[in-house]
Amino acid sequence: MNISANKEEKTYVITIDGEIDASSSIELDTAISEAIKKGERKILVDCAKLNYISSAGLGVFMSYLEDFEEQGIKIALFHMNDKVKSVFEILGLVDLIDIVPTKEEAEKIVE
Amino acid sequence: MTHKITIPCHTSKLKDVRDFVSEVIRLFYLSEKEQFLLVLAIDEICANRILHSNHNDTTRHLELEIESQDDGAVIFCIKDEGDFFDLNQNESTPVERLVKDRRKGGLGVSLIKKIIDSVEVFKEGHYTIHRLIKKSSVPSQF
Repeated sequence: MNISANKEEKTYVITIDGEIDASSSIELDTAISEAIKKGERKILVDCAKLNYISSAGLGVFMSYLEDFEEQGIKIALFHMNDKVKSVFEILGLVDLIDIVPTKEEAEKIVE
Repeated sequence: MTHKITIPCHTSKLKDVRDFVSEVIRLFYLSEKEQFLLVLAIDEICANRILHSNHNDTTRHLELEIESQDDGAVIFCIKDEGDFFDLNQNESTPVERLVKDRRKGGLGVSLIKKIIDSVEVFKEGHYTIHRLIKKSSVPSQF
């Protein structure tokens, strides 16, 4: 699994490539933690190449929701395939974090 | 027919488990989404066993057997030497509580319970056995 981060004009984009499980979720944790430390307020997560996510990955996103709220950080996930999205749906997490089809929609959410 | 894999107890081996489960259940009458979710459920239980009951100890091993029944049900049997823990006794923590507490864990058991129809946990000698049953969603013709 590879995670990269790129500062764009208005947003900070984290791109995930591969599978997030109990072994690799620490890398996602590090990427989000670094974004917060850098003071990023508009975070997008490109999930186009995210093929799999287990509860360990979901848990990373969930564990930062309070920080996002407290620090006024907006985050949106985009380009997620239906199978991966179904994992968020099973636990009702789609009500807690924005998951949208396109990058343009994600940008509007964090504006 | 029974399909079996044995791995050392380390989370780096979870990918091997997922690949094995995917390969085996491809042969069964399950939709693509059902297959994906079953792989997830088995990944969750194995991760749980490896991390919390076997402490990522590679000198220990986890064995997974998959068997399909005549009625279309699929049985997953996970055997390891880790501590006994009956996830049926574990009350799922509401997601809102986990978020409030900033917890990273606690979602795996909820996922397993939502995907799998029944989970039996028992001891056999010094082994802990988890028997997970997924009933077929395809109506029987008989």
